[in-house]
Amino acid sequence: MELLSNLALGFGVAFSLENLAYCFAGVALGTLIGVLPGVGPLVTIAMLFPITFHLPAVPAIIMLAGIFYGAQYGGSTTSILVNLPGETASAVTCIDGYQMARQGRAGPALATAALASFFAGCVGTLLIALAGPTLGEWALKFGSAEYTSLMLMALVASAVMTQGDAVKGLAMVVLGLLIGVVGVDVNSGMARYSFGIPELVDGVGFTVVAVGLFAVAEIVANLESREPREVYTGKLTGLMPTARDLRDAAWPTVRGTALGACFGVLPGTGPALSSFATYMLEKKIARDPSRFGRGAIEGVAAPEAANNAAAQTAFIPMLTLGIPATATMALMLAALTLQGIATGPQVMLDKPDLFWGLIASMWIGNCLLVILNLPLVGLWVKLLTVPYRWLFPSIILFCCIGNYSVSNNPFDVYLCALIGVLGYVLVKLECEPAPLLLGYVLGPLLEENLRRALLIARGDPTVFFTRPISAAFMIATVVILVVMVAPAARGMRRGT
Amino acid sequence: MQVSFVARLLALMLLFGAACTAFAQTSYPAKPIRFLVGFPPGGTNDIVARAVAPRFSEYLGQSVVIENRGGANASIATDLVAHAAPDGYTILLVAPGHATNPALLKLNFDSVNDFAFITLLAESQNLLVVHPSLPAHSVKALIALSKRRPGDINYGSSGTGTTVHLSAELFQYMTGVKWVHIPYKGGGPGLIALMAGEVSLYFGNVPTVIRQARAGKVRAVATTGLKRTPAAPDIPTVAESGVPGYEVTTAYGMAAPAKTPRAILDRLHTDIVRALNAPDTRERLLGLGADPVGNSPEQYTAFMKNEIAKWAKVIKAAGIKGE
Repeated sequence: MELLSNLALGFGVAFSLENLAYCFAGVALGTLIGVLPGVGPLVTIAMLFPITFHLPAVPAIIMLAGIFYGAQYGGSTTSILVNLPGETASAVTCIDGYQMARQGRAGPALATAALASFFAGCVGTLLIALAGPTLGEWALKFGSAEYTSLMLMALVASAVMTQGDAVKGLAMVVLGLLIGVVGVDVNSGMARYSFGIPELVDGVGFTVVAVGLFAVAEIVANLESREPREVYTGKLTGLMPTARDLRDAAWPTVRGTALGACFGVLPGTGPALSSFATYMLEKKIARDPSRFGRGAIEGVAAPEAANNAAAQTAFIPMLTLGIPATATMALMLAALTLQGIATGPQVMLDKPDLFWGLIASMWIGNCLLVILNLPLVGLWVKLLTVPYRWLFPSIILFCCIGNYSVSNNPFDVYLCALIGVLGYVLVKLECEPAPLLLGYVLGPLLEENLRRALLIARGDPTVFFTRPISAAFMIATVVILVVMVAPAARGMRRGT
Repeated sequence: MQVSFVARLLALMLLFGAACTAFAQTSYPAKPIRFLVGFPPGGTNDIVARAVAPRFSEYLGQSVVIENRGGANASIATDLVAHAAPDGYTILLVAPGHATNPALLKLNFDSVNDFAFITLLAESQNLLVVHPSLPAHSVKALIALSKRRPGDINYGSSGTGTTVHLSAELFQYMTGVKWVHIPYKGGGPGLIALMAGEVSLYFGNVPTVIRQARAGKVRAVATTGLKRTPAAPDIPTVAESGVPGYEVTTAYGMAAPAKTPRAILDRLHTDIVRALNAPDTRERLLGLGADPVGNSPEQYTAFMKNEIAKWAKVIKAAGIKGE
């Protein structure tokens, strides 16, 4: 009952004309920047920061939050249409989303992404309202040992990502690990593989790698073929998903939402990892895994649901513990701090209008996003009819702007071009970029947590098995290994 | 008649145009000023810059554009300003790392001589907090406990070479205790690790950790400033609790390239000090836990020289190696 009265308070706050307007402005802006690669919520919120000085706290945070989760929505659009991940979390959507677009099914892919995001957003918000503080405490149970085991499990499971040649897949993961460790080592403070270039001291940015590997490489590879663009649009079959599409996407959406909501609560891992994890899960449990990478609708629905659920639950550590999990969250927290609001464990009690108003506005924001995005599907699909000679230069231009704006440094643009060349070589060698990206994300996290866990345990490796959550992940890792190796072993026995 | 009217109008316009140009030549600033911040948006550096920029722009009569050039603990942005044209149109937000970078990184500039230090904008203290399970309620008790269990207590930090890390190194250097450094990527994860009990000690930025202490999630022991912080006057300093001379401040300042003309530096100094004294700017900085300063260029330069020498000693003694 208390929940209902709290929600009533929240909707009372969020439904004021002013707050609705700021919510709409936030999600519209978020969608827009999500479409542009590299121009992430962080940069946008930073630019809008001074405006929040002149706003009361509630509309300010409603608008900033809208930008944040709106960007997760918009990020999928360019991933699907032109293989250009607009946001970190939507890189996975490229894999099957872009293939769907190539088969003339861009409309259903976009609509599925929007609907899956909507469902996940609503569930994520409900979770914050129902179990925010409990989940916040749960996040505290994750120490370095738990993270290490979790990363190990994810890395083992990543073998599922690869299609065809397992050796090539493994090579890609390792290459990703190597790119991931460029920069200052957290433990010693030493710079690794930086070749004396100051820009490399902080490592290679995600946007640089993802945009280079997916968008730039794809365009370069496309320039070779003289295939006319009209081929895709000629096969265009309907804008909206069919009943069968919806049925296929339903369970993956639910599973993606569940997994995404869990990852979102963990500080530091967030949406990017959640979308990879769900993609691997879907591929593993699919009746026909070979469809993945060739335009499976599950491959769009699950990661999109996951990253949007994670985007909502990422607010839990900030709202219940007063600790920002990511730089974007830190900026939102700072906006509140400058308003004189002490965010911390007490914010739910001290400022119920802010807390519940924000939660209600997230619901409204998710509705607004669907209303905003579904009619846009037709418009976006029309974009594909733009001839190559206009489309390609524009995509490259946006890639450059996006990479430059991350740290206002031309070096990142050059580096992206270089990685684009690498991506093209990989396309020629029939190596897939997705395992590389996963290695790049997981590698540094695994290393950092492994070394930290051992440092705390003074070098005792049994720590990974004596802590219950960590032990559970380790057992799961072994199970995954067995499941993966068993069919191969059986096959070998039959063969001999 | 008509012709002469047009001619007069033309002459008037020309005169006005010429006056404008002359005015522009003599009066600084004639175009927007780049204010370089060495970190991406969202960090305290960025927020300090964004907190002072509105009033500063207003008083200068030109917009001050914040440019985030992240990387290498602000040394990329610092390098850029060191080698920028000394015309007053490129200025730097001097990051706290300015004092420690010379001892940690290979730099392409001289951290003192390549800059004209304008003023210390604001400084904040760190607060030593411990996990509630650690049986130490004061600095003295902590030292005694640490001496009984050398190399047993873990302290967290927001990364190697940060003020959070160096606060603990200075403490060990001055008291002779031995702790184990557990670095995290950023202040959020570091503080979460303390709350979860993965590490026992943490020297966090006052406004962030004080709320956790007030909520009873962690226990506040002492602050790192020479004087008690206005944000928590009930908490003693490390210096007054038996480690005299112990001081760590996180200092944010403003500097221009070394050869910037005196007149321009004076103008910048006057307007930034005015901006720091504006009630709304003060309030914003205090909200961040940073005390507005606004001292003279001479005081600030002396402060920087002193800090660089102090940290070089501590970093060497602690055996921290950078690049």
